[in-house]
Formats: sequence, C-alpha cells, structure tokens
Amino acid sequence: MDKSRFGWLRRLLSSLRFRISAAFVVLLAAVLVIINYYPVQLMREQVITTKETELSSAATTLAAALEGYTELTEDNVYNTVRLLDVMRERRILVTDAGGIVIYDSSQTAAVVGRLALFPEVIAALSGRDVFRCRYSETGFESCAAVPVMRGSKAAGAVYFYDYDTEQAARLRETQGDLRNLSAVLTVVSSLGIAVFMLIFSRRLGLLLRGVKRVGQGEYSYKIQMRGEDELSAIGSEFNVLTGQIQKNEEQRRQFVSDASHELKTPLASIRLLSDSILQTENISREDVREFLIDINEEIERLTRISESLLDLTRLDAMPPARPVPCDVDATVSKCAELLRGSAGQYEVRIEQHSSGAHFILADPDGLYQVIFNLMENAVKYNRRGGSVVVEVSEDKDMTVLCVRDTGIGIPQEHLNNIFRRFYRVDKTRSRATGGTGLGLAIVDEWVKNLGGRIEVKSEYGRGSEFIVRFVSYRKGGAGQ
Amino acid sequence: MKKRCLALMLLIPLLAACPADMTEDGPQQTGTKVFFISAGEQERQLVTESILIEEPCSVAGLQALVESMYQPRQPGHESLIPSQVTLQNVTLSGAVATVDFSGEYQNLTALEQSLLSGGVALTLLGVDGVDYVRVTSDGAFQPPMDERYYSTDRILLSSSVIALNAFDVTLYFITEDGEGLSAVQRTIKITEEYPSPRTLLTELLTLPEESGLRSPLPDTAAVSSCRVDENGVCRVDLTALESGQAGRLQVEALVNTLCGDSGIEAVVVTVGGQPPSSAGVDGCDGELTFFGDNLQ
Repeated sequence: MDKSRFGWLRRLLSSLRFRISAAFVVLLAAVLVIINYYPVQLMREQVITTKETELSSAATTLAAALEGYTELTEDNVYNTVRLLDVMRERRILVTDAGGIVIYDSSQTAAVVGRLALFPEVIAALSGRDVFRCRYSETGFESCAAVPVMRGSKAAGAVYFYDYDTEQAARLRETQGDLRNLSAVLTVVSSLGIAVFMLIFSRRLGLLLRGVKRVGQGEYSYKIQMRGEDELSAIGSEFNVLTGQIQKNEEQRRQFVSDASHELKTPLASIRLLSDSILQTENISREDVREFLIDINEEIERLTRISESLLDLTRLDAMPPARPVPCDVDATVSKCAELLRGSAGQYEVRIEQHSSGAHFILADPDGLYQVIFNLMENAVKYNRRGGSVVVEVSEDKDMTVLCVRDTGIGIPQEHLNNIFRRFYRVDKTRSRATGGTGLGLAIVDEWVKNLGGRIEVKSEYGRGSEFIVRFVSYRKGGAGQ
Repeated sequence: MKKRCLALMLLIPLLAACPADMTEDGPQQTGTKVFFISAGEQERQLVTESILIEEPCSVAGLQALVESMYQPRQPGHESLIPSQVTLQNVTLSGAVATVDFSGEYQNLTALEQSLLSGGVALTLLGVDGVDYVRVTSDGAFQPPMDERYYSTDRILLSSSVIALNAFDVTLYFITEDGEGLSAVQRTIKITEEYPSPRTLLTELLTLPEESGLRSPLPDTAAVSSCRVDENGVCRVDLTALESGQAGRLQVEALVNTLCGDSGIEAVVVTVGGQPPSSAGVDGCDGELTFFGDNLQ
C-alpha cells in the first residue's frame, strides 16, 4: 500500500473511474462553453449587422435628401427628417461643413451651435461613411455618420445615434435561457454519469473481487455477471479460465498424490526388505541375496519412475524443439531391434510393415519415445507366443503409425483413462512387468507436442491397437 | 523680532497661494495637454500629448503651447495647424485668450478650420485661468465660431455627451372601465441623467400596447406647468381635470408616476392654479404622496 504523502492522490488520478469521469467533465465543459458562447456571439453579430444596415441606410437616405438644399439650415433639416420619418428612437445630429451642429433631434438637451469633433463626424466631413457599434449588457450603442456631399466636397455631416435596449434584453434573456439549459444539462448529465459510474464500478468490482479470490486460491469461485457487454464477456472468459485452472490444479494434486504414492510404494518395499535383513539374526547368505535382488528391482523401479517423471516434467516445461524431417520406418526398425531381446524372452514376435518411405517433421527424440513406448507396451502386455505388428502407412496427407498386439487387451471402461498419468488397468500386472503407469501419458504428451493424434481400439482378452496420425512431410510440398 | 514674525506670518499664506512654478522646486511639474490628430486614413480623432511649459498661465506660456502644437512628439500624431498657417499673436485678457493666425487660415477648408481652432481652444482651455478662447486671422474673427467664444461646453469630443441613458420606469394608467389604475413597466431612453417629472409626464401621453388603458393626461396641452420647488415637492398645474372618481384616478395616476422613479417626495396638483376640489375632485388637495392601494 502506498503510504507516501500523496499516495491517495496518485491512486485517485490513476483510477479508471476518475479518468472516465474527468474525460466526461472536460467534454461536458467544452460543450457548455460552445453552447453558451457561440449562439450568443452569433446573435450579437447579427444584431450589429442589422443595426449597421438600418442606421447607415437611414443616415444615407437623410444625407441624400439634404444634398438637394443649397444651404443646410435647422428648418430644412427638421422638415426633411419629418418627411422621411427616420427619427424612430434615435438621436440625429446634422452639422455644417465645419462641424457646427445645425440640427439636433433632441428637444431637451439640444447641442445646436456646438462644435462636434467626434471621430465619426471628422470622418464623415472627410468624405467617408462610418458605422460603429458597441455592445454592453444594457444595450447596443450604435452610431453612423455620413457626409452630405455637394459636388466632391462634404457640405455637412449626418450623424445618427441609436441605443437599443430591447435587443440587449433579448440577448440577455437568451443567455439566461442558455445558462438554465446548461444547468439542467449539467445536472442531468452528472446524474447520468454518476449512475453509469456506479453500475460500471459495481461490475468492475465484481471482476476485481473474482480475481482476488482466485488469486487467494479459491479456484472454484465464479463471477456472476449479467448482460452482454464487454465486461460480461470478460467475466465469462474469466470463469472459463478459472475452470481450467481448477481442473489443472486438481490434476496437479492428483498427479502429486499419485507420484507420492508411486514413489512411496517402492521405498516402503526397500525399507521393509532392508529391515528384514537387519533384524533377522543369523540370516543366511541366500536370503540376503534374495532380499538384495528385490531391493535392486525396487531401486530400478524407482529409477524408471523418476526418469519418466523427469521426461514428463521436461515435456511440460520445455519449449518445442525445432522439428526436423524424421524417418518413421527407420525409427520403428530401431525400436524393434532394441526390443527383440525382451520380446524373445516372452516369445513375442515383432513384425514391421511399411508401404514405402514415410517422413514427418518432428523432434527425433519425441518420435522415438512414442514408438518405443507403444511397442514396449505391446510386448509387455502380450501373451506368450503372441505378436506385435507395426504398420506405417499413408492416408492422404497423414502418416499413420499402427501398433497392434495380441495381448490381454484393455476393458472398454478404462479406455478413456489409459493416457492419464499413473493410471494402470491392472496394478498387479503392471508391477510385475515393471510398469510405472507413465508410459502412455508420455506417449500422449509427445503426440500432442508433435501435432498428431492418437486413438486406441481394444478388445479385452484379444488385444489392442494404437493408431497415431502425423502430418506427412514431403520435401517442397505438403507437410513442410 | 515682532516685525519679522509678522512678516513671516503674512508671507506664509502668500507662498501657499502661489503657483507651483514659483516655489524653490522649480517649474510646474504637471504637463498641459496639447491636442493633435491621429494620423492614418481610417481612424482620425483628436489625441493629446502632455507638455511641460513654464508659466502656462501667461502670454508667453500660451504662445509656447500653441507653438508646440506644430510639432507632435509621438509617432502617429499629426499637427492640427498646417505649416503654412503661422501664429501671429496670443493675448490674454482676464480669462479670455485670443489667438491670431496669419491670413492663410482663411484658405483652409471648413473642417481644417474647425480642427485647428477647436484644437487650439481645447489646448488653451486646459490651462487654469483660461475659460474662454477666441480665434482670429489677421485680427478678424473666423469661422466656425466667428465672434463667439470657445469654451469647454461648446466643443464636443465624443458622443458620450449625446448618449442616451436607459431607465426602467413605472407608469400608471387608468383602466378602461375607470375603476382603478394599472402599472406599466417601460424602458425610456433620455439624454438626462435621471428621468425628470416632465419626461415622465410626457411618457404618460404614449399609451402602452396593451388595450384597455387610458392615459391620465388626455393631450399634450393638459400640463400647463411642472416644476420642482426647493423642498423637493413637484407642482403640476393642469388645464383641466375630470370631476368625481375619474378625476381622482387621474390625480392618483399622476402622483404615483411622479413619486415612483423621479425622486419626488410629494406632488401638489392644481387645476388652473386652483386645488382639485374646485374641479369637483375631493381628497386630492395639498401635498400628495404615493397612492398604493388602487391597483387593478
């Protein structure tokens, strides 16, 4: 547990829930900023554009009407303003060529006779049209100035001033509505994300809890998660995985138990025999020799079991060796030669049949182990005077190895278990023949490693047939 | 010893009243704003530069100020005085400064003349002791002001002077059935700093868009006079008033409107100089304040 000063902060910042929530908050904030800014901005610009059109148009109309007069006087301007009806709620100033105000539409605070040196009036008297608009929360303050031209010179200037509070009020109302909408959106979205995070956290918590419990050894624990989303899929896969782990764990326990038992048995025998030697007074030399022979046999048995266990362990742990082309027939011949001696002891005949050369891509040691173990079993569990027939043939793209014997056969109820480690159909007979119960388990592991398949057919009392299929190797063709 | 003390006692107030340039610290520390015009085609407006002049409130000081207007110091500024127009003379008589330019002044366009004379006037009006400025050319008064004086309130530099102020006011109208009053909120835009009683009464002449209301003032001639006395009491004299309840409602509407937003404490309504009772309206004589319980 991180006990540093800011450990809690670090945990918070790295948590998935925080990141999702933070991403949502950032996204929501961006949306709210856009909602609250752009529509209002657009509205404001639209109002300003409209104001420019209206005010400039009105000023231009008045200026054009005044151009007809030879002299600009207050009466001329007053009559023209009334005629054109451009007053509205605006303030209108008209100046002469020098900027002196000759007309003011205001009745209460008229500035007639004063010198108007506004920047807009200066610009208009210089011959340019000007429009300005300034927005504040209380209103749109606009002004437009247009020259009254006489020939190519400005004979005066028309200045329109407008202060629109209604549009500003509408804009404020819109801003208020948008703010309310934003508030509602924030509340609803926050509630939504809170509910989502709650559900998400709960489901995530289920997964985490499951992982923790399995990590503590509770392999039978299953995650109960409903729904069809990715989390449910993870839960389902997790359950499959833990099921497999549980199965492997059970097999491991069973294997350890079996291995312990198998190792304990010869050790117990050795102890018994050595105790007998030590505790028997005046034991004869022949008895000692007999006991020692038995002890030796048990030691050899222990050795075989240890070697087989080692082989199996290596198979479990080692990475697959680089396969090379292997001659199946040659390997069969080699194994047959090695077993001829023990076969002869049991008066068992070994026959080899082959329909040509057969190659597969395999680990040579693995192929040898498979063929040797199958042929050894066929010899060991045969009848006196029986036979072992080994056939290597081709079936489409597969090389088929068939080891058939005329031995005691395997009862049907045992067929599914014979490839399990330490499984023996008849323990007594296996002990007698020196079997460890690991031979077929080793064959099964190697066949899987080499990418093949093995099946067994057997009739109790008549014999068994082991059929192994490998992908054939053809130089430059299929199987390469 | 006593004479010295007395002299010192007389000297100290004199020293305190003197302009700063007469102190041992030397010339005046704060500058005088001198007017120029911003350069460029688009935005031309009057701008200022602060210039330190010794004894600005003197003929020499005023002359120096006007002469400084020929040469702006900051980039982007142009002189308001064309180079061909020369300064001939500056006089100071009391609080009136007269500036005389050469005859080339008369060859300038009307706008150039206004900018020149306006700029010179604004510059000199910024000096303490100068309240009025006159501009002449070869001794003769020139447009735009001719013989009139330039003063600070005669030159408008920005539209803030004519800007409108918006106020939300409450106007009281009479319901169509004549049974009571109806308050109407309205935004008015005026040049004054606050709505005057006259402004509010003028607004009462404009009926609101809602139907079913009557103005308490039948026409523009209904108000003979409207003034606020020194006690803050508004005295409104009407030409006519309806009798009975109708007249009372008229008075109530006027009083409520005036007492609401214009800062008036009380209203005295008269009809042709006589109290409302002479027109058959009882209970409305004397000073009246806000009627608050007759709204519908």
